[in-house]
Amino acid sequence: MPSGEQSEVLVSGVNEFAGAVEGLKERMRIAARNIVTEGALILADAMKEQYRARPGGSRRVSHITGKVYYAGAPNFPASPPNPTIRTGNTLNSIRPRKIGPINIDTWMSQTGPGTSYERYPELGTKFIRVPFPMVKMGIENSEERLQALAEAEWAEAEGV
Amino acid sequence: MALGLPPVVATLVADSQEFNASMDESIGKMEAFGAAGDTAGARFTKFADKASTMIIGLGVALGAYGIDKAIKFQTALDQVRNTTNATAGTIDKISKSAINLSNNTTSSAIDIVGAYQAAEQAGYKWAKAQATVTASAKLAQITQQPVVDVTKALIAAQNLGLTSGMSAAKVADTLSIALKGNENGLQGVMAILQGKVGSSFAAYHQSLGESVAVANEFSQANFTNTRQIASFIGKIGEFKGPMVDLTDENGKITKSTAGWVDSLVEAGLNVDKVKEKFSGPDGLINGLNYLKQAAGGSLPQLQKYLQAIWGTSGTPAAMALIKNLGTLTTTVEKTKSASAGGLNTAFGISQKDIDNQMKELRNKAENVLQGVGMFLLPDVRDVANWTDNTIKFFQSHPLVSKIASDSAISLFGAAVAYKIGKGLVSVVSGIKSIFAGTAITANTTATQLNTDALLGKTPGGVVGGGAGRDAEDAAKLAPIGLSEGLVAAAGAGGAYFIVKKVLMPTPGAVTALANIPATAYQNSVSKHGTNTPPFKGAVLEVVGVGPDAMSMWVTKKELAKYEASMASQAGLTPYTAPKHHKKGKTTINIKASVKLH
Repeated sequence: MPSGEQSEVLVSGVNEFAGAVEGLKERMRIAARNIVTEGALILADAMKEQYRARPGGSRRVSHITGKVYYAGAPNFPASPPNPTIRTGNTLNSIRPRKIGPINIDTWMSQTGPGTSYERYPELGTKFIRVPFPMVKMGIENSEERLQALAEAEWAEAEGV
Repeated sequence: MALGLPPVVATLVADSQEFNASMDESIGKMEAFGAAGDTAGARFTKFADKASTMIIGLGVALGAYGIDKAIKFQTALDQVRNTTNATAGTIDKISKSAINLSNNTTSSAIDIVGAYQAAEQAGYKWAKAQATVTASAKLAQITQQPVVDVTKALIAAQNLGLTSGMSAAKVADTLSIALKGNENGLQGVMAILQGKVGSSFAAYHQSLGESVAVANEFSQANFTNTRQIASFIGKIGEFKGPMVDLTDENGKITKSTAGWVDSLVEAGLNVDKVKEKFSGPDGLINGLNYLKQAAGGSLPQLQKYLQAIWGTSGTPAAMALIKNLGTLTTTVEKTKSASAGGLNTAFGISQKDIDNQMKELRNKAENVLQGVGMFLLPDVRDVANWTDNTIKFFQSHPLVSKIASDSAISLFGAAVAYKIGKGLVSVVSGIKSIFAGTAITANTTATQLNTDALLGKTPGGVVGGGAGRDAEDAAKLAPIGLSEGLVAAAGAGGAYFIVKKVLMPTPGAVTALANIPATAYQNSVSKHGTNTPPFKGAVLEVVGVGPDAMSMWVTKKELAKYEASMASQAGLTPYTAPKHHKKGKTTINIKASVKLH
């Protein structure tokens, strides 16, 4: 120990601190993955929740050909903006479509329906003047859940 | 996709990049700090100030590790609380006992809490749970097995009905002796003994030593058909049961109500002798020894005897034991001398092992840090104890004793005690703030100010003020439609921000946006290359919110470029709105990002 007011100072724990921080970073990366993965499922659920059940009697099977017909307006009119289940194909096609890392720290997921014609009710056309934006509404309705998910994941990763 | 049109999808992005970059920066500062301190002959003229800073640095380094351990420890205790009927008092006892046991064995405190969880789930009261876990921790060290597994095995052993009147330590010592040479097989042995096999042993009042040794032999021979083993042991019951014999005029048994008597007679065995050997203490071993002796070294004769008693199905089990009958007999004899003292003797021997010594040393170090970390957790209640413990730890730490005076140590303790007393939202955030900016200088000041505040000299709060600044920002941002949850999160420490779109901001929103801190605005200006508010009258898609430079404004065009860039990196097909749907927006983005404040 040096004399007078001068002193020798040693520091330890640098490696331990660095290790702890590395661990924290890794947990944050895992949290990012969890958020987009679970968030994608939340989004899918929320999109499906926008659908209105098919009215009773709107489904008819031809006695002659056996073909199935789904009646719309005017007998069983649509009720925008919520889409009405007709065949259920678009509803059943909603799922996380891509989940993956963009880089080591960033993850992305994409969720939506897979039918080729879904975009028309979603966005509207000259024939569908009032659209049925189930994706958009699903996102809006899942915001709180996504925020809660993100908050929980980040907090857990941080060890708060 | 039909018609070549892209799908309408929701894109969710979670980004920890900025947070991790900030953490890298803090590591760099810590390393630089350490390098400066490690330089031999580094001189500081104001010792007291620098030393207190140093202690904070050291404390943070230890704390970062300790917190991690403490969180795990606390989580383990919470699991006990949630999965058992343990009272708060019991949890406290478990906490103290776990650290104490961990200091003296190779099991970590967290694992020992897991062992207590198993004991509590078994319905043990405290005294029995403590005795069982203590014995398990010792046995775990002797057998080099996880303490939780050993505890479960010990509980299973105590539930066999073979341990009446035996202490947990004696049971553990019996297991230790009976398993000699197969220390890894405790789980396998207990798997065999649970169920019918154990209850058969118990029903015929056989000893624990014999039961475990026999099960161990079966386990090592990979003979694990418990139905066959139970049937094999069941013969003891028949030997213990009544015999009704019919004899002829010469006294020779001609008929028996028990079919096996006929078999024994036909094989040339003395029924009474066999019955006596099998039905006595440790009957299975003694009976087999008798048969081996009666066979006179003839294997065919021995097999004939075994066949006569157990038939085709039980003979393989008997043969599995006969192979090592000598060793088995010796082991069973040794188990009779099992005691609590014996366990301690074996434990003492195992402690001399250098590996075990290192593990104990590690546990002690971890437990000390864990103690520090425990009190840094948000739900800390006993600040005074924490401060005492911390000061004691630093005083006993040889490194700290070199660099700090008692007053400096007290200064640190007081400073942290004050911070905790004020209820830090996040200790991790506290650590980050210590290393952010001009950390070294600021810390000295912070320590002094906090201490002053603690002593009532100033009314101020914790130096740093990150939470307050965030709350102010959040208040400014609220009018633009951010949810309460987001605002609250921002106010609570800025752990993360969710980007949400703002289409056609209202005049009120524009005013609110204009009030975002100057640094954020400047950042936006530098990004857009203009000092005209970029949002005026424009359709904005992404609003990043946060203190200082974290705010980000992106126009619709820039957003598209950003998305295309990200999508390209991720190997995704970027979405572009079709021309005939100019008015529609088809990709709606929600972005989550982490911010360090």
